Amino acid sequence: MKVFARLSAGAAVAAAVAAGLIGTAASSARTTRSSKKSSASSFTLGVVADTGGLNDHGFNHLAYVGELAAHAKLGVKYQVLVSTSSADYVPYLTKEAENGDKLVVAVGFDFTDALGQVAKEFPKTHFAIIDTPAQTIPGKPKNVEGLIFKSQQSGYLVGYLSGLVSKAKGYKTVSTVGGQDIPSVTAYIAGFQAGARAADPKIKLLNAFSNNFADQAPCETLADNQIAQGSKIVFQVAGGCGLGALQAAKQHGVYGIGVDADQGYLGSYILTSALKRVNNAVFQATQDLLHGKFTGGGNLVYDVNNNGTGYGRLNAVAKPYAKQLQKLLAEIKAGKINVPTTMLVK
Amino acid sequence: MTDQTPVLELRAITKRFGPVVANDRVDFDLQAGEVHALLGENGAGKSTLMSVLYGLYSPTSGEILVDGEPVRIGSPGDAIAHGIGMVHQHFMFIPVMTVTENIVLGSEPVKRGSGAALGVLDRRASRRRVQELSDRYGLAVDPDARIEDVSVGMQQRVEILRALYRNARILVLDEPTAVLTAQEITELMAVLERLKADGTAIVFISHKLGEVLEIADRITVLRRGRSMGTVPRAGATEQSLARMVVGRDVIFRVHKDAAQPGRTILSVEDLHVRDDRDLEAVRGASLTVRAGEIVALAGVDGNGQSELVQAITGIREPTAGRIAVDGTEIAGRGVRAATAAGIAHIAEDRHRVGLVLPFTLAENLALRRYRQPPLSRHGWLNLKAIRELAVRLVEAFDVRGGGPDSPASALSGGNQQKLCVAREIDSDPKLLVAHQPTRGLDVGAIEFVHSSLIEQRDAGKAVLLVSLESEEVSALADRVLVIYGGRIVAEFPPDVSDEELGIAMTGGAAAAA
Amino acid sequence: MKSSALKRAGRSAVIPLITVLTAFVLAGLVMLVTGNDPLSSYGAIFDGTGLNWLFPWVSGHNRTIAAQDLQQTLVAAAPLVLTGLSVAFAFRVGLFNIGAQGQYTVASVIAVWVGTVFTSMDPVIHIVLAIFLGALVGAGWAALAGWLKAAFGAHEVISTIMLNWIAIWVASYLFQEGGPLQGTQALGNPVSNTIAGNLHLPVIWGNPELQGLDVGVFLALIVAVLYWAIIRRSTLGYEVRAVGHNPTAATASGMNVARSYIVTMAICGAFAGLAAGIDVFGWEFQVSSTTISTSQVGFLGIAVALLGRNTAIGTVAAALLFGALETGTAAINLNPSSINPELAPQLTLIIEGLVVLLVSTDLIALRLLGLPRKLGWGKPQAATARGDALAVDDPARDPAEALRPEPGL
Repeated sequence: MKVFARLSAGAAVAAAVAAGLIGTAASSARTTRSSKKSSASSFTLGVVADTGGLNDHGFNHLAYVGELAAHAKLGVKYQVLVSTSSADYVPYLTKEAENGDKLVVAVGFDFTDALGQVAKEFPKTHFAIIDTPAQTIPGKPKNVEGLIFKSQQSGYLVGYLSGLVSKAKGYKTVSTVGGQDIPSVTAYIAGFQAGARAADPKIKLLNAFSNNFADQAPCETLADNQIAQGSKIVFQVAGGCGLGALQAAKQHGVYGIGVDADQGYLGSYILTSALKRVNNAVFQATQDLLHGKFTGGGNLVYDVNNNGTGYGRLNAVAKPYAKQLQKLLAEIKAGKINVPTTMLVK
Repeated sequence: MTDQTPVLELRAITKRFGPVVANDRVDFDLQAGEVHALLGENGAGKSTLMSVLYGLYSPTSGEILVDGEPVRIGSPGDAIAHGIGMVHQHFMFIPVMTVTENIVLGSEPVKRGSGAALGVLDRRASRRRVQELSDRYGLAVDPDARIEDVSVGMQQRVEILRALYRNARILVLDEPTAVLTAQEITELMAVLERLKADGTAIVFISHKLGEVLEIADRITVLRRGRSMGTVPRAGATEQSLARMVVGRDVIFRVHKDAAQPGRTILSVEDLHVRDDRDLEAVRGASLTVRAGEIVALAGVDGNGQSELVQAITGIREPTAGRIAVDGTEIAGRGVRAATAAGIAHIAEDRHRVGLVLPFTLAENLALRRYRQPPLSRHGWLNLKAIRELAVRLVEAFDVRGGGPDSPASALSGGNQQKLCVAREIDSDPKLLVAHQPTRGLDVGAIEFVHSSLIEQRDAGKAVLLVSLESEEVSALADRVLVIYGGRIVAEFPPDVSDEELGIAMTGGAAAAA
Repeated sequence: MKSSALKRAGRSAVIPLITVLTAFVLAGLVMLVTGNDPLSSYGAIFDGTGLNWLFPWVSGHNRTIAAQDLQQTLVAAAPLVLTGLSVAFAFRVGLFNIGAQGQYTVASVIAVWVGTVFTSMDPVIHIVLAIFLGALVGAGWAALAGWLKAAFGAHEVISTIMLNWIAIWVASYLFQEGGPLQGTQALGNPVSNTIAGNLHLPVIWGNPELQGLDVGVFLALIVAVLYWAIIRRSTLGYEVRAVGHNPTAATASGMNVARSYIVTMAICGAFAGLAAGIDVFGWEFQVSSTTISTSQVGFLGIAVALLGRNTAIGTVAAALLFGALETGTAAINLNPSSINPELAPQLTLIIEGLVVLLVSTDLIALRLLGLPRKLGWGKPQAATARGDALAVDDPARDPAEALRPEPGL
């Protein structure tokens, strides 16, 4: 009943706003965004979000944050379109390209085929796509660069932390809830599992895929099951769906680990978050292009060394291990640890 | 009646629904200890007027006085507070609860003392009160019986009890006899007499002239939302009332020549049919109907006549037995086989079974034959042919209130029934099954249906009439069969007395036969 | 006759129009309260739908953009017409088909599978076969719910919801990593194989590479005409309507109600299946687990049918509205200074939500306007279903009675 959920959500928003009408009245007229350096540049950065929307607490949100940063610091104009279905991918990319955008960022592998079609038609426009190697775009267009992340590193760091916490507290099991069995998800989980075992070789690992990135319910159910099987730390890698997994962790009094963005704001039960700094990538790609650098047909790889991956804020339980984590981070940076991308336990 | 202040007075009540005026400046008054009948055709505004009185509708204009004081009745709760009780046509009960529980529903007595705070029901007190009231008015209601287990007549008495339980001084009975057998009607009349003697004022809504003349002290006639005047019973006759009701003279007994029966058309042998609850409702019924005769099947409702008719018309599959129409075996072969064999069926319930109310007249008239040329070919309808059929039948059967393209729901009950009759007769059947064909109809429409049936008989058709009304049976039948307990228990000539018929219908003849 | 029929059609359009306008006004209030200018926003939305293409004074680059937007509006509307008709047809027989999404899903799977195998087949025959088989399986999927209703009395709302989830999960499984239908070039992504370029539906307007308007929209319109013809002109449609209004009377007239339920649902499923066919061969060309779980086209069909009052014309119009809304609201994002891009998609939902809310309460509008119920959906079924044979004052003639809401909707 997604449509009803959607529609009733719409109605709820309308009602909430109506309530606001009585409360704060018309004084809430939002100050219009003033673009500081708009005269400085005719460069436009366009972002096309996938169906997760900008409020996904994840990579769509981060892409938008990066875009705003580029707008603020680099003075570029910006536009963002939010897809409501896969039918929007081609027209929205087209719309951005036609609008004279110098760089159009497609957020997520879902855009693979659509981008192949559009990039071919607009050879003068630059495109970038998150989480997808440029070589996998149909036609291998030269005006597309892939922005890819070694998210297994982030997974390894938070996995290691989970292992340390488990060992100290006597936890036997930690678990992961993935959105789908796809590389951008499994890399995280593979890193997590390797990290956890590195810290606590006897730790039991559970994993489940929700096949969903939007609806919280399936992830919550999966996490419930894992917690019932003894999991004390739940790492979500399922975008908006995964928030349900964290919710389950909260309800059962166990720990959760956020993903992509720093989700520590959800509460003190969030041990930490495995970061994928899409915002940095979007900003970086824009800056590079402004400086005449564009990796057409190739990829920009983000990892611990260029601050693309890492871990977020630590809660009280995790704080004592901050030093160990710093050390681990340095080791990964130095290439002393090679983090696998294949999951130990599916 | 005396000139004392009426307990109830309605003054110039007008009720509009948009452009429709359902009540137009209607005056009505009621004295303590009298039965005042409200008489009128379908849609004359009787029920609307009483809905205004009971607080279901608020009047567009006019006022209501109780004991000479103007009152505002905005809800049934107000009406009850003013001592007005309503006995609806459709009983409003919870079937699995007992009589007492249903009666106290909404005004449950709570135990005094510690129980009060908890809302503990004082069952014993309420049961005692129900028993008292029942005894006082001779209602013979068992307070502990479950509603689903008691007869329709008993349920009606429970409705009356419920009103009395709430101290009603004014009792409105909406078509109380429509669902009752002759025996139950007699009992009801006796109850009303006792209530009257006790000072209760009664509004008796009906369209049946006979019973109105029997029970009412005064009679107010409504026609098209207007009061045609109030007359005392003394001096009123069926003829005079009928003229007031329909605005013209009405022939009560349709003229009928002696029957000239021909060959056997319908032959039912040892038929067994189960009802919806999978109980055997028809248990070995056998009967025949010949061409050119009207055979009336009389019986108290619920003795298997519905299931028998459904089996004959192909709606319900019999478990055993034979049904032949002019030699063609049709038992269990479905409606289409029955229709093809020459059966037409005027259903007992035109709203639920006979018509598709939102359909236009034309669409309704096509229901029997829409699959055959010229109404359709190769699965596609011929709208022109359907419309032509409708124009012809609406004209021939004098259906009023709408054209071929109006919805059937826009017609009055009588015209809806004309629509059913037109459709069935036009199919040129060998056997016409008419199941309660005049139920809920006013005198004018009854006259039409009766003469149609006789015409069909005289045209050599076999007619099987199923009726609960003895008057109808004696007016139309050439032979009377009595159904009791799923079997045909007696056969009478048409001039059988009501008493004899009544005994047979209640099982008396089974022992005698 | 003709003119009165026209007048009737005109009158029955009044309420939906009021509903939509009210929804827009309320959503405009929302914009106002949140500090945005509703007029300029609606102007942007209108331009975003591409409907400004119809104005001859729109020229040059703007005209190119408008054309593309209008193409997208029509591409989005075409499947909504079909899923809307799918829901509407079921309503006609008195069933609530919530299963259009599932029927759409199974049909997508079949269409994309057939479209990516048998590669040596003649392209035209291949496309027709794939779309036909998709519609057929969609029909079967829906007929299952009809059969469960006819044979066991299982409520179609429950069974179609369950069938939706079965369809969605099975389809997700088929394309996921390691799933039996995952594409050979998918490289870890949960998508099917891609349909070859020579099997795409011809694009009649715009750039075929940029999702121009394909012939699917004609198929949708043809089905709308077919829908009208079945409902109004065929014995099947006559039976469907009779059963929908009054199954008891239909039975007494010799109609087989159980069969009607199954046949009707099968037709509904075929409509929804065709929607999948034109999507897969028109612009999608592949199916992924993600699109399966995020697609709303079947669910939106419910709103489309409600707003379109189950008529062919109404459904087409409502589908256009919903298609235009989906396309048009994207445009206001292009100027992030007018509406916060994080909130803009919610605006579409607010308008859609308000439309559904108001459609379901349009009886209030009727009452406020003092209009007779006849303008609306015809007689309430309640009058026939409640067994009013004993009623003397016919409730169907009582205008107050007639204002009661239709059951089951």
